[in-house]
Amino acid sequence: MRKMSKAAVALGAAVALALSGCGLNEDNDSSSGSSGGDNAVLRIGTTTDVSNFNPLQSLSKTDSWILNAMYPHLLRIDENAKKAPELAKEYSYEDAGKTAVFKLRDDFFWTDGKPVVADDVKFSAESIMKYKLGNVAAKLTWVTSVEAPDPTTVKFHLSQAYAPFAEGVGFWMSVVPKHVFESAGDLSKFANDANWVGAGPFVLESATKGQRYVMKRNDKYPLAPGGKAAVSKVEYRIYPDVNTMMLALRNGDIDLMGTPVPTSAAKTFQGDSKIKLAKVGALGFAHLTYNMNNKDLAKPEVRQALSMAVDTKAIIASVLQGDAQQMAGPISPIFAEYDNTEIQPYPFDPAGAKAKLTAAGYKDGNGDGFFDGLEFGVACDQSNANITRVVQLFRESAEQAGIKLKNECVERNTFLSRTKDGKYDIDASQWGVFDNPMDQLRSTYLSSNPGGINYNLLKSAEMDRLINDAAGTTDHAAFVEKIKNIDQVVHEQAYLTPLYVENFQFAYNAGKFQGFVASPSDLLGMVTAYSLAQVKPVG
Amino acid sequence: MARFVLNRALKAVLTIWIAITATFFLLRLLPGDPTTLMVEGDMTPEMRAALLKTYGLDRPLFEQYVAYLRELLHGNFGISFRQIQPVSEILLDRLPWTLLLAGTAFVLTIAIGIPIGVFAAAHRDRWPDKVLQGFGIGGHALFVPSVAMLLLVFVGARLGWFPIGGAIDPDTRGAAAYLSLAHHLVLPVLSLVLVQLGPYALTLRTNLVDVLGEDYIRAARARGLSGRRRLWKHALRNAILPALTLMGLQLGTLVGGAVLTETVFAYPGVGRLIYEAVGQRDYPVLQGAFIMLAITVVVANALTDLLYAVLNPRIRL
Amino acid sequence: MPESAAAAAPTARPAWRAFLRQPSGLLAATVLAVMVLVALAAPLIADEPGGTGADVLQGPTGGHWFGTDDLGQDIFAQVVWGTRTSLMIGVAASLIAIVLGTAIGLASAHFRPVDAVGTVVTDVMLALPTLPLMIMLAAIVNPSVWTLTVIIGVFAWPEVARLIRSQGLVVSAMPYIDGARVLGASGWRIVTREILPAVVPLIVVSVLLTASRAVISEAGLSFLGLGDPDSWSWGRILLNAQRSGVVAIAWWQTLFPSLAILLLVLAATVAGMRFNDIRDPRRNGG
Repeated sequence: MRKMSKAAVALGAAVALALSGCGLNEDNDSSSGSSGGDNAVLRIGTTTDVSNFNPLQSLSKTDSWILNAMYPHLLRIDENAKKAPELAKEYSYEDAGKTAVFKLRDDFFWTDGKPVVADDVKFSAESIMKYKLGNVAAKLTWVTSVEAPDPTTVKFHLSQAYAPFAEGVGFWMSVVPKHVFESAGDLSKFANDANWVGAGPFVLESATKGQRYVMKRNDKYPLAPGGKAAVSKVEYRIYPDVNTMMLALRNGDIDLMGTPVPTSAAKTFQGDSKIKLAKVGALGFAHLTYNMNNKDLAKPEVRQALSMAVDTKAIIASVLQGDAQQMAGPISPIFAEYDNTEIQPYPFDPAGAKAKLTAAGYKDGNGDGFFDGLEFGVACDQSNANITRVVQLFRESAEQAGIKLKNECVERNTFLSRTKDGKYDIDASQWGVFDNPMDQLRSTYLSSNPGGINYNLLKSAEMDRLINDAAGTTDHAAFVEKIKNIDQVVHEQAYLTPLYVENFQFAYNAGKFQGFVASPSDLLGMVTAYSLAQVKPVG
Repeated sequence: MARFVLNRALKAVLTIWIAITATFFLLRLLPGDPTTLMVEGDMTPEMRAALLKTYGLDRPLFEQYVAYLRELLHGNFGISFRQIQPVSEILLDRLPWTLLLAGTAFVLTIAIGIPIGVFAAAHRDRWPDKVLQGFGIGGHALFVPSVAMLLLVFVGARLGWFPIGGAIDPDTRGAAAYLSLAHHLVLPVLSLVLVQLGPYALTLRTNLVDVLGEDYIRAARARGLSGRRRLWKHALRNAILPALTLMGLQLGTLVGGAVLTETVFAYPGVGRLIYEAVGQRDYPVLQGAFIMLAITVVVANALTDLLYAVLNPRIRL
Repeated sequence: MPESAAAAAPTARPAWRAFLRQPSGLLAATVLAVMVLVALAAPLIADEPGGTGADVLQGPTGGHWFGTDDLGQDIFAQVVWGTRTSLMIGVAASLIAIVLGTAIGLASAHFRPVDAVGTVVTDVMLALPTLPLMIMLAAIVNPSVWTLTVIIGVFAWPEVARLIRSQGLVVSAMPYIDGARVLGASGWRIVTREILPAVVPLIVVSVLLTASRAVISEAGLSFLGLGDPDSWSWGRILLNAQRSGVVAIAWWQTLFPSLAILLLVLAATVAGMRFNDIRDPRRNGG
């Protein structure tokens, strides 16, 4: 026994020595990774593993960062939130809007040497329809058939005209190599986790779960200056905690954060001359949405009163440090053309809200400062730093208007499941990406709820009629007018209280890399295929 | 002895079976299924139904359970919902990291904890005892994420002594790779050991103090045994039983610590996998991870019991 | 002999005095008393944290002793209000765990049939990694102070049971228990009169250790975002710091709640140890 514990002491001492020793010996590893010239490696921080390598199936934001660099899309969204050509040179409608025609470039190549052709696009769309894959399946609802008359032409035949069809499908759908995916059998069960063949600027070379994903350059990528990216490799490294990722950027372990820097944390990089922040807009917005199945929330006066009980200006000033734009109607100002500028946001006016509720017949019988029986839970995803703060402040300001709110911010998946089942009164959340206003209105207000995100659970014949009417309108000016009219209705009814469009900030090491082309939203940001193809090492 | 071992083994198997069953049903009580996370995109009810069918989640619960047990007996942990990859492969990617992290922390805790505990008990109420008690209790009072974050910010970033997150520098080869591995391991292990060491040494010391007061120690003293001999031979032998128990217990706690530490230090272990899988409702991965950890702890506990029996002659085998 | 020792054990009052005579015991008791006082009188000490302030992410100053967070709220007020939640959950969860754990541990130590079932149940509970399980349960239920308490309490008892059982087994194997059995004492009597008093020091230590572990569990769950979003707790302050990404620049937002946890757990542990030393009659005579 005595010998044993002596040995233990010796072992402990030895391990301690060994550990402290390696602290002294090795101080030269982590900052060396990337060198200039043609062999530059761009290292990007991400928050989690790739959960699904199948681009037709994956729905995760972090997956799409990696997959979008491998699989081309017909269209991309540029820095001004406009659709820009990617694999498709152009698109047009024929047959009174019932046929969408894409003209493809002829200089995209898969990394195994084969050209990217119209058949690849046709195969991708048909597979999505056949297996109902990902979110693109819903966008292909009206497609009756797909045709590839020649290698650079794809025609989608639709059962009815739908104005933003080409934009939606062009932006969302990944194009996969038919000659590879065809032999995989059931694509809903295809993992695509090795031997990748892509046609973007980079293609995956190796994946080490929990650690890193290395992508090598595609030597033929026409959208890069010089026909191929200037960076030879892109390496994604995983940092689940944003604090750790920021420290890693400062430490030189990574060159770019894929995740936006939280507003409050931007100061971290003050005084660091190498680190620059790039600011981009959003393609979604933060909002409060009211469950119409709640008997009180079904009354427009109550929804309007709630809209007057949230101090959006104060929220923007504090939670977002002023770095956001207040919204009035439900269409984000980033789609300026469709934004109904005549709409004024509901003012923050607790007294007015009280008056409105009193007029609607609500009373404070017991004198506790709250209207009797008027109590709502506000559901939110607790992992969203900004929204949880919004709910906290909303709860306090609503108190002034005599409305009792309960903070129901819960774990993310529980929140999503409750929203899906309609188990909430008020939903405080942030839409991620709407690439066009029509898709947004369809997903959020149609009673058939095609996107599963009609959080109002609204069933209004009037709204259905207005939306379907607009969707089938092919004359652009009339289409815009109809959208603006829907804006107005949503605003008057206060189906939701739009809060703000925030700006995202992306941090990168400007001492090492330059030339990022940032697109709006945290889905696209600095890591789109196009952006990565433009990046150059400094010096 | 053989019968005792057999009994213990049977009990271990039973425990593992109950653990499997309990987690299986508990996981399916959770609100939300894997399709809810896909709400970010558009999805029709038909698509959702198709997805559930692919995963086999549309079948009756009991049928799913029987199928799962059958597969498990063949060593098949199922296919991950999110990663469409066999769970066993995913676990094999991650488990070694956690074993390395938790194992190193475990060995260090015991290697440092026993001498501290014994030394403190031997010098009861004198200054070494007080210093070591302070150290022990202080360690016990630490909150893992706080320790991890403070170590990361100050020792990792400010002083720059250790890497910020990760498990190894992928560009290193040979000896440099081992060095890099150790270098990355220091801060995560340190945050676990700082927290684990306290209660461990403390319990050992408390037990020793108790045992030293026992009659037979007094009897031993009466027989004229020297203080040191008394401590090592009689007291430690009895006090080591609860310390052994604690060793087994610590594995479970270590896993909890690992969930928190691995996230802060971006360490690729199974703890982080569990945390992510909870968020994604990835039943097969969660289940597989639980079962692997449960087996580890149950086997460790069984071994503890055997040692216990060997060391304590009062327990009939 | 132990019979007489137990009979000669000091009554509560002198034990309490002896406890307070020790500087460390006195200090620990004072800290605990202050914590309880802070929890009870939180509204008198600081306004409930809320709203927004102009001084965002400010370090500790005369106006804000513990600095401010990214909304400009006072961290001192948050820590003070957090004391309520953390203490309440710690105490209540530890009571649940102790009652369950002691009952099961003692029954297992003495009654062979109970031991078979009890040990299996304990082993199962111990075999499951607790924190991930608590994460899952907390995700099922509506997060509130009470559901957290129950979850933490229900997962903390096995450790108590296991410790009590192993100590109970040692005591059970002692000659005087055999003696009592020979003299015809019933099982119930032996457990309550002989074994229970012998493990009391361990129970007392367990109460305090379990309570502090419960405080840490609560902090862990809140830190992972599974706490009660409507009440302040120390874990929630840490979560806010982590979620807003200010850990590297606002050390005060991490340090002060961590210190509060440290102080409480430290005090509880020291108190437990001192109490243990005082209550152990043989120590004074040995």
